Amino acid sequence: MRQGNAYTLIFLTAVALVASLGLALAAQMLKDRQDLLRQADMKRNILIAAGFMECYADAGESRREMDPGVCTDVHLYYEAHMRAVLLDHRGDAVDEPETRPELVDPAREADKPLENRRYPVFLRVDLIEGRETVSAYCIPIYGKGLWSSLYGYLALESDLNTVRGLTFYRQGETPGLGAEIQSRWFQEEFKGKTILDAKGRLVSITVLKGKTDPSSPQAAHQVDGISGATLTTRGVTELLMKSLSMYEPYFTMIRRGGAEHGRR
Amino acid sequence: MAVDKKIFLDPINENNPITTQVLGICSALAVTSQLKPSIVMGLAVIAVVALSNVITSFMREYIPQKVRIIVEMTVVASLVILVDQLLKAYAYQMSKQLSVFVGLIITNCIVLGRIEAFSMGNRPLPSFVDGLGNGLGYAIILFLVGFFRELLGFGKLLGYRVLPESLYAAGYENNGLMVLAPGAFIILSLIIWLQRTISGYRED
Amino acid sequence: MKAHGTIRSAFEKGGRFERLWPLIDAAETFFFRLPVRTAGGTHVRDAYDLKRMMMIVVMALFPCMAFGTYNVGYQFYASAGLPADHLACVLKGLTVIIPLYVVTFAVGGFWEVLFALIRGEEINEGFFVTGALIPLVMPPTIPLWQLALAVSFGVVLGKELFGGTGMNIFNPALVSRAFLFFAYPRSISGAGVWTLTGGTVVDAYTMATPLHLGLEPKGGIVAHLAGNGFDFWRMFTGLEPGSIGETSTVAVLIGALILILTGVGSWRIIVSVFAGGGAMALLCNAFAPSDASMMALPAHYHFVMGGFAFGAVFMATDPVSAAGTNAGKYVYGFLIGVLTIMVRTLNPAYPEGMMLAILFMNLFSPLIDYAVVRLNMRRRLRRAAG
Repeated sequence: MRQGNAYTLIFLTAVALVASLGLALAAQMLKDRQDLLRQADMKRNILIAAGFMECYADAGESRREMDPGVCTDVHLYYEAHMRAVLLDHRGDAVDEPETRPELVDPAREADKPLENRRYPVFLRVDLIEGRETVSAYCIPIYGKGLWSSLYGYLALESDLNTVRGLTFYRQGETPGLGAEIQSRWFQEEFKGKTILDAKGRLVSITVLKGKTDPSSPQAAHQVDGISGATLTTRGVTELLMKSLSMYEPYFTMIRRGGAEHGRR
Repeated sequence: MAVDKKIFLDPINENNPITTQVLGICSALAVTSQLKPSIVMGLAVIAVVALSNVITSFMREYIPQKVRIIVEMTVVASLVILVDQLLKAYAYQMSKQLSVFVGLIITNCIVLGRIEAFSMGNRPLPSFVDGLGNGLGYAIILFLVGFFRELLGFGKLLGYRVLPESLYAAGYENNGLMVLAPGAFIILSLIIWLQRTISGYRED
Repeated sequence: MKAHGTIRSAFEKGGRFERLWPLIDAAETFFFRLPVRTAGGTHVRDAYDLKRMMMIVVMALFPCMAFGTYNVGYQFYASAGLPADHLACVLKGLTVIIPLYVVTFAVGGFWEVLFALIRGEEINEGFFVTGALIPLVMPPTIPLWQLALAVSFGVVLGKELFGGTGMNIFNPALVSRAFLFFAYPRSISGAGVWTLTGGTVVDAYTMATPLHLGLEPKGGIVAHLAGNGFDFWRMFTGLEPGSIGETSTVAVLIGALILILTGVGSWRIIVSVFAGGGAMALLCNAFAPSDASMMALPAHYHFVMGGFAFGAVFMATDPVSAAGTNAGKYVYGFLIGVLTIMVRTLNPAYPEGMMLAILFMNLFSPLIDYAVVRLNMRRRLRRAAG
C-alpha cells in the first residue's frame, strides 16, 4: 500500500480541494434561491397576520411547502402592500440598509444591549381613494411559553388599538393543549379585541383561564383560554404585553398624529 | 456483472440497520412525527449512503490507510452539505423542519459503517447496491414510523386529512403521545418486536 | 363431570385443541382444586400463592372502590346543586364505575388470554390487581374508548412486551395512566375533568381539585384552599373532586392496614414514601418565597391531597416493579416521596407528581437493589477478611 507521508499529504490536499470547490460552487449556485425562499417564508407570516391570507396549521405541524407560484405571489403582495420600518428602542426609525427587517430575530435582539436593539414594524399600505393609507401595523411577537419559545406576528388596525390578526408560526408546546395556540379558533379570538383601555393606556390582551364573560367591561381585552394549558396561555398574555410595550413609544407617536410612519 | 441479490435485500429485512442493528435511532425519532419529513429524510439518507459508498469504493485503492477515516468523513460530509443546500433551495419548509437532522446524517452510524464494512473492500457497483439496500432499509422503517405517527397523532397523511370528520364528531381525538418523541420509540419498538417475532432473531 | 373429562382430554398435549390448553387450565384452577398434588415431603408452610396475594390487594382496595363510587355520585349532585340521599349517590356512582370496570377487565382479559395462548403459558392472575387499580386512578369523566386504549397499552407495552406478569419494569396500571396523560391530556388534566357533571355547574361548586387550586393561590395557600371549601378534614375524608379512588385518605389507610397486617404490602415502602414526602415538603417550606406559594404547603396537606396516599400504599408497593431488598425499599420509597413533592411544588406544569415519581423510581429500582447487594457483599467480604 501507499503509506508515504508525502503521498498522504498530497492525497488529502487533493480530496480537500475537490470537496471544497464542489461545495463552494453548489452553494454559490443555490444561494439566490435559498434567500428568496427564506424571505418568502417570513413575508408569508407577516402577510398572514396582516390579513392577506389564511393559514392555520395543526399543533406541531409544519406549514405547507410554497410552490413557486405562491412564492412569487408572496413576494409580489409583500412588495405591493407592505412597507418595513426599522425602529430603535425609543421608537425612532433608523436607516440601516444592510439589515433586512423581515429577518430580524426577536430572540437575538433581546440579548443585545437596549440601545442596539432593532424593532421591525411592517405597515400594510392600501390605496384608499387614490391615496396610500396605512391600514395595519404588524409587529413580531416573541416570548416564552411553557416548554418553548413562541414566535408570531400581531397586526393592529390603523387606529393602533384594534387587533386585525395574530399568528404563531413557531412553538413547541404540549400537543393537544398548549400547541392549540396555533389553532384557528384560538387565533381568530383575537380579531377585533382592543389593546387600550378607555383612558388610552396599554392593557394588552389577556388570555383568561376559562371563558370570557361578555358582559364584563374587560371583555374587549380578553380572550378564552385553552383548558389545561394555563401556563402556555399565561406565556401568551405575557409576551403580548411585553411585545406591545416595546412598540408603545412608536405607537404613541403615531397616535398623536404628528409623526410620519418613518417610511423609508 | 452480476450482483448478489442478498446484498440488496439483506439490509432491508433480516439485517435491517434500524431494527436489527439499532443504528441511526436518533434521527428516526426526531424527524418522524409526520410522513413527509420521514420520506425526505429517508431519501436523503439513501442518496448519501449510496453515493458515498460508490465514491469511496472508487477511491479505495488509493486512500492511505493512516487517514482512511478522515477521507471517508470528508466524502460523507460533502455529500451531506450538498443535500442540505439542495433542500434549502428547493424545499425550504422541509429543511426548516428537518433542521439539524440533515446535517447529522454525517454522524449516522449507518453511513460510515457501510463504507468501512463494505465499500472499502468491494467494487463500485456492489457498493452502490449495498448502499441502496441499507439506505432503503433505514428509509422503510422511517416511512412506517412516520406513517403511524402522522395518522394517529394528526389524523392526516402527507398533510391531508384522512380520518373523517364524523369520527372526531363521535368523540375521537388525536393521540398526543404520537406527536412526542416517545411515540416514535413505541412504534419503533413494536416494529422491532414484530420483525423479531417473525424472523426469530435473538440478541446474542 | 364426565363431560368435563372428555373435553379436557381434547385440550391436553396431543389433543385437537392443544393450543387452547391455557383456557381450560384457567377455568379448572378457578373452579376446581388442582388435579396435580404434591406427592413427597414439602416445605410449604401455607397455601400462599399469587392468587391469594392478589385477592388480598383487591380486598384492600375495596374501601377505596366503595368510597370512590359514593363520591362520584356525591360530586355529581353537589355540582348540580341538587340535594341527594346516600343511596342516590351510590347508584349514580355505580353507573360510572361499573362500565369502567367492565371495559378494563374485558380489554385487559382479552390481552392476557391472547398472550397466554400465543405463548402457550397458563393464564395467570396478574391482571386482577392492575385491573382493579386502573379505574381508581382515572377521572370519572374518562371516555371508555380511551380507557380501553390505555388498558391495552398498559398490559401489552407495560407488561407483555417484557415477558408477562412478574417481568415488567413499570407498574402496568401507572403505564396505562401515563399513556392517557400524554396521549389524551385533555381527558386527564385541567380543572374540568375531575367531576362528573350533568352539564350545568352551580357557582358554589369548585370543579378544580385542591392541587389545581394550589398552583395559583391567592393569599396564603392554606387559607386559599379553605376558602374554596378544601380544609384538611374534607381532603382527609375525601368528599372532593379527583381521580375516582384516590380522594379519601381514610379509605386508603384502611387498605394500608390490610396490606401491612397481611404482609402483602411492604410497610417499609409505605412509611418511607411518607417520610420522603414529608422531608421534601419541610425543605420547601423553609425556602418558600411567601405564604401564597405551593412551596408553603405543610406536609400533612400534601399527604391528603391528590394521589399521594393512594400511590404510596397501592402503587409504590407493587412487588414486581419496586425495589426488592429491604434497604433498597427505604431508598426507593423515600425518593418517590421526594420526587412527588418536588414535581408538585417546583414544576408549574404538572399539579400532581405521584405517577411520574413512581414510574421514575420503578426505572431505578433494579439499580438500587444492585447497589444494596454490592454494598452488602463488600461489607461481608471486609468482615471475612478482617
